[in-house]
Parts: sequence; C-alpha cells; structure tokens
Amino acid sequence: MAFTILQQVVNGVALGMLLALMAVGLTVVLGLMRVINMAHGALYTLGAYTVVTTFDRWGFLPSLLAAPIAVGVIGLVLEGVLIRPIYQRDPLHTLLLTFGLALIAEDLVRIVWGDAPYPMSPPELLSGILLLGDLPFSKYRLFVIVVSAALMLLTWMFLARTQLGRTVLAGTFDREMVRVLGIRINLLFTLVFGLGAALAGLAGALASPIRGVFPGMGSSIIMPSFVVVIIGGMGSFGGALIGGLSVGIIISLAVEFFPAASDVVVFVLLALVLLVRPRGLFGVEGLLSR
Amino acid sequence: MAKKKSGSLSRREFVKVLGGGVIAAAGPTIFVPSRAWAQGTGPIRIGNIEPLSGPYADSGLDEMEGAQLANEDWNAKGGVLGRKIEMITEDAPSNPGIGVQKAKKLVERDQVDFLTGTLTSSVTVAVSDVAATAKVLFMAFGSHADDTTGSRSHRTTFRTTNQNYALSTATATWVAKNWKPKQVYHLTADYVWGHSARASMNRIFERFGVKEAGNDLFPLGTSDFSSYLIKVRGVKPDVLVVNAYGADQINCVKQFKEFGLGSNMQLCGPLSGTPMMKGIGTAATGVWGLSWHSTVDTPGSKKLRDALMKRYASSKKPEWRPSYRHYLGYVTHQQLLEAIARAKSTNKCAVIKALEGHKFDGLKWTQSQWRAWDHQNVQDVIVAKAKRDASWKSEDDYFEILGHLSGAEAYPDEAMWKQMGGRPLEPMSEIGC
Repeated sequence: MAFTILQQVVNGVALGMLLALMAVGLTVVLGLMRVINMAHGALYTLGAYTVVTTFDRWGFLPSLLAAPIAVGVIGLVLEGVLIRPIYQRDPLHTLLLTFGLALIAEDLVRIVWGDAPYPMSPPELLSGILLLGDLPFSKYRLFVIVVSAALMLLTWMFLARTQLGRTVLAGTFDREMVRVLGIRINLLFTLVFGLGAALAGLAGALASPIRGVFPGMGSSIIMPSFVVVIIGGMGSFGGALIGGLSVGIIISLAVEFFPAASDVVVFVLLALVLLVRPRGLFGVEGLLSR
Repeated sequence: MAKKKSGSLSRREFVKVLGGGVIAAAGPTIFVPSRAWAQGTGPIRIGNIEPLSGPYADSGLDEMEGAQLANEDWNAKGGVLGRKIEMITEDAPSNPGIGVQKAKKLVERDQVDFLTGTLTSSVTVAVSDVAATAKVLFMAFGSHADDTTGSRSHRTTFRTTNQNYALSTATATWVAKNWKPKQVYHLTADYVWGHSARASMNRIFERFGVKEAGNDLFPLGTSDFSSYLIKVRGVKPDVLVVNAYGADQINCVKQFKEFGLGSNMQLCGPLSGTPMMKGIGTAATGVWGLSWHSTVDTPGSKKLRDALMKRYASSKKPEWRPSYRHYLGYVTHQQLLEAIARAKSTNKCAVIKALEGHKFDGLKWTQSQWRAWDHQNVQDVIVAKAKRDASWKSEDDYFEILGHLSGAEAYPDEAMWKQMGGRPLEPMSEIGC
C-alpha cells in the first residue's frame, strides 16, 4: 500500500510540474501586467501541435525544443500587436481579448490539423518503465519531472539572480515605482509575456504523449492552471510551484482513495485556501485592486 | 506515432468533394414538393446521416463508402424495381441536436423514402425518434448501446451493428474460458454505455466464478489514466477490463503499456476496431469484441473486402484496409434494397414486414437475422486479439481473430431484454400501416 502511495505521489508530481509550468507564465503575467491571460491554454495547445508537426521529420527531442521557441515567438507577437494597445483600459478588456483569442486559436487548430486527436507516444528511449527496487515508474513521467524541474530552476534563477529578472519581480510588486526609476517597462512586458508563452508551449509539448493531442486540450488545462495560480497566490513564482505540486499530488491520491471525487477535490482545496487565506499561499494582498 | 498531416488533409478534401458532388446531384430535385412524385418512377431516395466532421469523421466516411458501394452494385444491375438508388448524405457530428435537424431536413425537404446511417448512440437514438414521429423507416448502422433496440426501440428503426450485451457476452466468455482469471478489475467510462458494458461482462464472469476486484468510473474524455493504472497495479487483478471507446480507450491502452502493466495482467474490453487501433499504434494489446474485421475468412467477407479494396484503395494509403464501419454501411444498404425488392414496393409497411424475422447471410459464419420483436440484427460476435509487432504490414494485422460466438448464444432472450428495460415496439397500426 505504501508503495502504491509513493507511486501515486511521483505520478502526481509529474502532473503538478506541468501545471506549475503553466501557472508560472500565468502568474507572472498577471502580477506584472495585470493581464488575465485566457489564451494561455491555446499556447499550450500550439506547443503540442508543434511537436506533432515536426515529430516525423526531426524526432522527439528537437521537436521538444522547437515548441517553446515557436510558441514564444507567437507570444511576443500577440503581446506586441494585440495586447499592448489596450493596457491602459480596464483589465476586463484584456480578459475579453484573450478569451476571444483562445476561441479563435482552437478553431484555427481544427481547420489546420483537423478535429481528430493525434496519436502521440513517448520516444522509444523514454517509453516503458524504470524499476527502482521493486517499484515501477514510467520513464517518460520521470523525464517530465526532471525537465520541468530544470526549467523551473532556470526560470527562478533568471528572476532572482539577474538584473533583468529582479526588475521583473520588482515590477510585480510595484510597477509604478519601476517606471518611476526610469526602466522601460513595456519592453519588460513583452519579454515576460514571451517567456510565459514559451513555458506554456513547452508544457503542451511535454504533455502531448501523456494527455493526448486534440483541439480542446488547452481549455481542459486552463481551469486547473488558474486554480493553481489562485492557490499559490497571484504573482508568486514559489506559489505556482507549490500550488502545482499540491494540485497534482491531490488529484493522484484522490483517484487512489476517492475516485468519484477526483474531479471535485481540486475545487475543494481551492475553496479551503480561499476561506483560510484569500490571497493564496504566497500571494500579495489585494493585487488586482491596486 | 504522429499521423501525417498531409494524409488527413487530403482525406478531408476528398469528403468535401464527395459531399459536394452528392449535394450537386441532388440539387435540381430538392424543391420538388410532392411526395407522390418520389414514390413514382423516379429514383429511390435514401437519406444518409454520418459524422463527416468531428472526432468520428474517419468512421463516418467509412460507413458512407460502404453504403455507397451497395448502392452502386444495385444501380449497375438497373436499380431496384427498375428504379435507380440515390443517396443524399448529411454531416451530423456527435451532436444529437444537429442529427435531429439533418434528419428533419432529409425527411421534410428532400422527401427521402428511407433514413440510414449514424454512428454514436446519442445521435442514433435522436434520429430514431424523429423517424418514428415522421413514420419513416430508419436503418441505423452504428450505436452499440442496448437502449437503441431496448428502452428506446421503435417499430420504424432497425439496428445493424452488435449491441453491447452481445459484445460483452462474447468477450467475457472467451476471457473466462481461456484465461481462467480469479479476479478482474474494471475501468469504466462514466456514462450509459460504460455502465451497461460492465454489467454485461460481470454477468458472464459471475457464471464462471470470476470475482470483481474493483471498478473505477472515470469521466468521459479522460486523457490521463496514470493514477487509475497505478491503483490497478496495487490491486493485482488477473485481468483489467477497459469499458471505454474512442479516445478514452486509446489513452487507457497506451498508458497500460507505458506503465508496463502487460507483464502483470491481461487486458480486455467489450468493443474495439480499426479506428481505435490507429490511435493506439504500437501500444496495441488486449482481447476485444468486434463486429467485423477485414480478415474474416468467409467467402462473403472476402468478396466484400475485395470489392471495397477495388473501389476505394486507390485514394488511400497503401496500408489501408476496409474497416467494420464499411461492413456496417454495406450490409445495411444491401439488406434495405433486398427488402424493397422482396416487398416489391418502397412502402415502409411492406419493407418493415419484409425485414422482420428475415434470415440472411451477414457474411459471417452463421446466419444473421432481423429479430422481429426488437429489430436487432442478431449475428455472430467476433473475439479478437489486438497486436502490433514487427510483422505488421497493413491494417489487416491490427487484429488476430480468436473465435466467434453465435448470435443465438450472445444475444439476450426476450425475458432478459425485458429485464434490461426493453420496450415493446409500437403496433403497426400506430405508424399508419
């Protein structure tokens, strides 16, 4: 029994890391730019479809690299062309814009790649199981954990250790002050949005052999990703990581012990966090009201 | 492995061209108002409803191609009763609302004599209700739900494919006899079809003293089965039963392989087919119930396979083979047209009478029969093993046929049918006969 629980936890960590990759982009964009990016799920979808398209020609690992680059560029263009002109307006307007973009993107995917789900398997090297002692673990899921952990670490080092990253973090706390100090915050916005998009693209690419590739995949991940952002605390990098992991692990364990509740348990956690600590685990108080 | 983009696009365009052609052909006659004209010496018009877009588009195209081949066979012989057969195909993806709309359009505007087609149970049952209200004969190709010829049955509806009960009975019987498991674990899609599949499998398992170690319901459209599979591994059943269809089945079987469960237990399920195996790819495994496969070795099936290959292979990939959806489309139209010929009339009352209780060669081993009291096509159920190894050459090799159970053994009798909520068909007088 204890072994099964350990396996469920590892499995939950793999799902949690994917959610954390999604949530980091969402939460930093939200913290810095006050944009609730409903198109984040569409970027995740595009990451998966990039892999599907380049897989036959390039193989898995190059495709995994191509996805964040392609989706990151799409993110830069989206921010520069569509989102930037309406920063000065009500945050609701960007919400509507990105929501519309998400719908359009899903239909574009249907037109270009068709409605049917694409079969996608892990590459030969990463398929099957790894026996640790007597315990079997999916090689591909371990790979997902390692890759996303490495990326989260890189992102954190960028945010906490570099001049540019610290400016971004400072911006999430008080962007007026950053602007007053003479920093070109618009450039920061573009950069951060592109980075968030790239992470979402990578999450979609990593998820493609696990969760399947289909046009609606983005809308199926956006809801849990927002839940992670709210549980972790809006604008917080650590919150996105801890929130993602806890949601992933709780879903896995719920299937083991209360399978009927596996859909609901995430929202129960969300409700509890909101009751006890409305700003989220690591959130800044009143972020959206400032 | 990833599917080639170009292949799916060209197929899609092919459908558009085909659909466009059918509509163009029907164009000039669409606004002819009188039904009397249609019943005269003009062509016999069949309204065919298929999902030609959406997740089941490939299967819908297969069904349409099968039906088309049967029509062409008859037209080459001069038609039925001296009248040509004309088919109008409408696209209704897996949405009952659209199915209803298209069925009404075909009946009211196009004045078709018969309705055929449909794939998912939700659309089938909805179209079946429309046909009953309009008093038009509807020959359903697909839909495996027991309800279609059970609690939602109609005098005006016949169903060609195997019902769930029969598929589950055949698969569970083979599994119990050959694997002799002590306990099985179910993973069940949480909707009517999944629940009824599990109940039917368990009914057989109980008879053989096989215990149910557990059952997990998962929501329709689940993509990540890992937690369920880890749990199953902990329970250590002898057999995992996958009561899932479509994308759910694909994901579940692929992850069964990913987690290496194949070395711990066997896998089986009541229903699969070529469309699922395309998605599962190299992870293919398990023993499944089937309605037909391209390697069925009866003379009739070989002939059908050759005819379909001759007619369609040039527009497909080299590894393509006809699927059981082709079979369903072909057999249904063949049966409908034969019944019209026997009845010497396109009058629905005469055709229904010609079909009820009729025994025919369903191209399998024992005779098939349109059962008079529920309008189900009682037929052999195939049990087959899914495989995909280095010897795989074409879609023929998706399955190795292990055996079959005759319709008489696999189907519920009238008492069981009633117990399952079977509703007696309306009397003939109620549909204007």
